[in-house]
Amino acid sequence: MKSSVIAESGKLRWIVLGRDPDRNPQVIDTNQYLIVADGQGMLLDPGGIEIFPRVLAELTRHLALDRIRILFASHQDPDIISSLPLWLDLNPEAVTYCSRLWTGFIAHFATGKDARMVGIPDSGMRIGIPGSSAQLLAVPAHYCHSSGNFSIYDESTGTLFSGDIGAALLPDHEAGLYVDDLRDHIALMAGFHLRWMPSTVALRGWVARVRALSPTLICPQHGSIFRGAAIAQLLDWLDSLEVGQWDDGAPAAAGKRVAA
Amino acid sequence: MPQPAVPIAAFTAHDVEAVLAAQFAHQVDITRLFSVGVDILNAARALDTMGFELQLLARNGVVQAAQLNHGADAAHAGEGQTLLALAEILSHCPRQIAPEVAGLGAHCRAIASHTATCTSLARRHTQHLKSLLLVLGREGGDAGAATLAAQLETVRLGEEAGLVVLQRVADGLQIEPVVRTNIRLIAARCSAALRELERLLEETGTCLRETHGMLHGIGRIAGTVNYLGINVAIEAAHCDRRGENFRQLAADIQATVDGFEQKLLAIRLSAERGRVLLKALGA
Repeated sequence: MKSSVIAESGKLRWIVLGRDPDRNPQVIDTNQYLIVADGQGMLLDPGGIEIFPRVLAELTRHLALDRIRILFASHQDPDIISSLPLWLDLNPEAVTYCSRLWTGFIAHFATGKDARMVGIPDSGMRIGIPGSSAQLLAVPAHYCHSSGNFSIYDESTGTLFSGDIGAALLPDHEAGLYVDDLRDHIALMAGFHLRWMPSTVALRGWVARVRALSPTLICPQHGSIFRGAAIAQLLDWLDSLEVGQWDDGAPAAAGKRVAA
Repeated sequence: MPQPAVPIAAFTAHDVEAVLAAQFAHQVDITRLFSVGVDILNAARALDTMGFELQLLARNGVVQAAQLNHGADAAHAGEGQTLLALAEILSHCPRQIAPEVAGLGAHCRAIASHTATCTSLARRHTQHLKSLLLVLGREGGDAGAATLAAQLETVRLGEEAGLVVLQRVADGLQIEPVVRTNIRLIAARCSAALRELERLLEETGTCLRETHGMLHGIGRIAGTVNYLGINVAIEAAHCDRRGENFRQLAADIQATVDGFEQKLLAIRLSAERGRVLLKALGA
């Protein structure tokens, strides 16, 4: 597994951990993001049990484990947060933030531990990293794809963690860390969005919220990071999608649209 | 006196995989132990149900015997007396069995709970240990001269001594302070997990030993019930047509006692498997 600093502002750094060449091919590739502010950490979508050892091993380079103050789960899927008990073993004081819809569900991953959970209200909230001046914004991303879903925005660096939005299934771990031009990347994202995302209205609402933030980086949980011109291209492409599609192979009914 | 640092060199992916394979076998044994715990718990629950059935049969016997005694003509006077006496003795047995079975159930629940916790703990420990080995493998690089592979043998047993060796390996490496701090934190977590595993496995062993004693007590009461059932059958045979209900009652008692003994045997066998697994796990 590799790690790279992708954004920095004063004493705050964003680090991506991913692109694991030794990953079990049955396990979907994921990006984990670590925010380090004033020596305190917030781990975004810490990942699944299977990849935990490699994530942890890589993370040891960047931050003392007992300084991980916050574990953030964009939603409730196993590739997002099933490693929760393993992180809590190392740092029982860490607080887990997730949608208020999922606190009782994610607690199932905690395997008997008294996880300290904070349910984020539907409208979002500011999340401060204890021991630092950093304030992150939990941006609603409901139904993109999970019914209780959040992105995380950092105003100081303009970095947006988008969870599954903008996610791509990359061919291998050698794929580029950044997307500079969207055209070649769409094919890797299309199926993921059309099938996983259930609501066009919700997706367009998220795009509108993100346009208002004007991020300089959009960091998905799978695939490459968007920067520069690729950001506007991504938002335009997302705006053009009619998601929630499933081609059951039956003759198309009137008005039914099938993914191109 | 501080232990000398262990040099590290040929710390290959193969070595790590060998350690993890052994660790996985350890983990599988603990999962098997959990399966034994569940088997024992299920058998104990069945015993509880059978104890209740036995109580119903005994009460039925008392009522039947009282009716037989009450309705007897001069020719059959006193015929029901023996059956009534037997049924009344029989009716005490479930009351004797109930607390024994309840005590056994509590032990069985403890065994199932301990082994379930051990399974989760062992699984998490394996992932933490894997992380530790990955960090040491990465940080060790080509420095030093001796191979760590032989020293990793101690880790295979899942014993804390192995972690001490790994810690010494880390002490011998030129690494960033943050990495060193994290190695210590992960190693401390692994040590704590192993100590907790050891404690739970010891408690499981104690429960299994005490279960053995309880099975003996329950088996003795079941033997008495069986003997009483046989006597009921003999007495019922003397009652001609009027003893038909008692013959059925005796058959039902026999079937329940047979089931009881099968469950007791199942628990004994499971407990034995548990003891073998515990021995393999070094508890």
